[in-house]
Amino acid sequence: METLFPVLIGVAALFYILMPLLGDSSPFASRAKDEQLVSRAQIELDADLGKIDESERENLEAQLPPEAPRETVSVESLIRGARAAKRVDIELESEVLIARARRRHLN
Amino acid sequence: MLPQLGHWLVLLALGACLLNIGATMAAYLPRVRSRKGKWGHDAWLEVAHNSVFVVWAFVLGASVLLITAFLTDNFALNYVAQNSSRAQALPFKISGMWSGQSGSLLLWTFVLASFALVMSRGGRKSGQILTPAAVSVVSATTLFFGGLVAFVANPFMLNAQIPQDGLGMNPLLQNYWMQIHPPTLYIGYVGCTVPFAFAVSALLHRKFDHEWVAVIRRWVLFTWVILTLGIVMGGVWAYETLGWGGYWAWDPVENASLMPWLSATAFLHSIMLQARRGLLKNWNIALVTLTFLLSIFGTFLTRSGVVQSVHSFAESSIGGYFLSFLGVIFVFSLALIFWRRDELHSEATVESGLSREGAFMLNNWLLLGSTVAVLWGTVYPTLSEAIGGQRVVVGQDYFNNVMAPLGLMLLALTGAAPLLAWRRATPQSVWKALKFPLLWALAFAPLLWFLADYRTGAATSFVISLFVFLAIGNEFYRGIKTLRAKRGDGLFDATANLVTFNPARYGGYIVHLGVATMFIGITGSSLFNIELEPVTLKKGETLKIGEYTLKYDGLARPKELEPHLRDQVVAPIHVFDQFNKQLTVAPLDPRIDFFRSVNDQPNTPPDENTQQARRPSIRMTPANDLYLVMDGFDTKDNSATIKAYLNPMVFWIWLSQIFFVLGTVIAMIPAKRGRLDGGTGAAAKKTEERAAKTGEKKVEFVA
Repeated sequence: METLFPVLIGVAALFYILMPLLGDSSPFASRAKDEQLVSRAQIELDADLGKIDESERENLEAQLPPEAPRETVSVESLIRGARAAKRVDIELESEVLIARARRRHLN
Repeated sequence: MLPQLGHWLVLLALGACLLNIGATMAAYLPRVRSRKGKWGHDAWLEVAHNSVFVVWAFVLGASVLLITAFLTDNFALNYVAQNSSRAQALPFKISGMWSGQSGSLLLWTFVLASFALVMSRGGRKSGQILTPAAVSVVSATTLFFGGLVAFVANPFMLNAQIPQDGLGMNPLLQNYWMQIHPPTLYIGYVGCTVPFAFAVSALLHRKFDHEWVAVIRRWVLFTWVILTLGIVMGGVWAYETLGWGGYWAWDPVENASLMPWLSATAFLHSIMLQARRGLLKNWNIALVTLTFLLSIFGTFLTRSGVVQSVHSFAESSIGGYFLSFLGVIFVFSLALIFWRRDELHSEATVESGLSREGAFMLNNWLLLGSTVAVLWGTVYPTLSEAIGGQRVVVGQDYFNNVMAPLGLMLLALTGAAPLLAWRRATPQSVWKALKFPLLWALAFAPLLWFLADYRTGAATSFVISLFVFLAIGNEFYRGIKTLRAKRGDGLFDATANLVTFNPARYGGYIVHLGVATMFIGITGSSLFNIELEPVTLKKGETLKIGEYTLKYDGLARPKELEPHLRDQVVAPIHVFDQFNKQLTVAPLDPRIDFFRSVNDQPNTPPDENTQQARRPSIRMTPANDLYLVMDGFDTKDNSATIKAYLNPMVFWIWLSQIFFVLGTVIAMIPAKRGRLDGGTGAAAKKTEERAAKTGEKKVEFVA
């Protein structure tokens, strides 16, 4: 009895440990993770405080991950742009329709 | 039944440790590494992850069973009978678990298992490649400590005959600091395993990139601050309890905790060079390994009985196991570093000694020099006994004489290094940066020399401390000023942004302020302390020390005693200042405690065989501590022999811990991303207006 209980716990633990080998899916996914240690703000502040010179600044900035520039556009301008594009489309479409009608009329 | 189950749980935990190591190795076998799904790489890593939880659960179960045995006075267990008694107060029954060799090893194993669990969960969540192998290294260490618990120092060992009562915990340990100091120090010590584990993993994976730097730095910071607190708590305990008037005695076991702290401090600085410039990769690996080796060496010193110390456990054969483990780690680490030597080349060189890099290198050499000096002083008595047959005692003078100049140089660097530019600085730029703090510190030097009673050593320490405060203060001022100009932030926003844009740096600066504060306290308390010879006072008689007059009020005994005490004799003393104004509402109460033992006869007064301890009474102010100890008493004439100390500025040592903790917590926060000119204040608006005029489009970056 004194050894039966530990044996039962041990078997249960072993089953729990080995469970991932019995199934197909596994949530463990090791992957490379790039963690930046120097930020752009730090580089700018260091340059302003004279802690790094210009060449060091360029060197550090080159180590930063590439960043996609993103223009700041307002929602209104987006809507305006979409409307303008739509207008152009309609105008083009109507011109095409008119041209086709004329050709048909001439024929 | 329960004790046997405890031992079984430890054995099962060892089995799970082996499974963890085996599963991790299996995951990296060439055939398995690229396999997906069933029996693939990720599945084996998942097995390793599960086994970490099982190890933790089993060791937790064993620890709970041991504490339960203490709480239920289960003297069938030899360890409980040796370290507890029926009269022992509840908190001491709980701390009884770690008051002896085998129980403290079980606690150590539990802390290791807990760290492994945190590492494994964190690594799995963030997908760190280095984590599985690092967890396996921690599991291997757990295997060693758990093995000691299971086969060498088993806390679940049964007594042949069950005694009626236990012997009780060592009376000197029956103090509230016993609840917190040993576990804190253990967490600090055990924490040294984690960075080492990540270093081994990095060597195996050939991966010394930002992930390694970030993860290892975070763990070392955590370990470092816990170790700092653990060491200081030990100082407070010694100061409040032992009654010799001091907080640090260069005791071998104190030194053992200081050595990994020094090497970890060196690492925290050198890792910045790797993060920034790709420098010192091999040096950083070596420092992390050294820190781990020193933490195991400290454990060996404490537990083997080779050194004479108030901290030591009884002499036992366990030292041999630690020495062997130390040897294995040393050889394994050396071989691994040699194997990967080609990967450990620095990506750049230190271009100039007059630079931030140069200052960090100097800092590292000074810290390493301090470690070697402390190590030599600690092991020399043992070495001299082993070689020459005679134990040569290394006194406090050796440590003070060697460490004082090294400490002052390090203190100067805590102020000067932050002012230096990276890569290279010119003498002009250095002078420009140093001018303000240096000239002001020198301007105050005559005054500080006068206040230091014309003692050059003390005045030097105070002047350098002032220099550090001014230098760090100026760094904050310049940073805030720049942010206010650039972003248009208010004072509060600029301060918050400064710290959050670079928490590692400004958190570190706050710790530097703590170092200067601590040096003020150490200098004041070690160079200006007054220690009177013991004086026997009769009721109503007075004693003068410094600006204080002490008036003895006759012997007293408390109405109620704590359960572990057989008797307590108090010498109430009223304190008056130089104008004869009473300073204390209640008198100070230095006392002598007489402890119970298992052989006590009821209602008999203590005799010369009764174990006793002198408990000091302290009146603490920022200027000085009045520290009173009762050396003896005579009930016939109601007299007490009092030893008085006046310890200046000890308060500042304890205060410095706030800076240490606050700075480290800040340094662990991830840096805020973005650009400096992303503010919303007036300067940012000006930038926008300028851009509108020049036709330049405002561009935001996704960072």
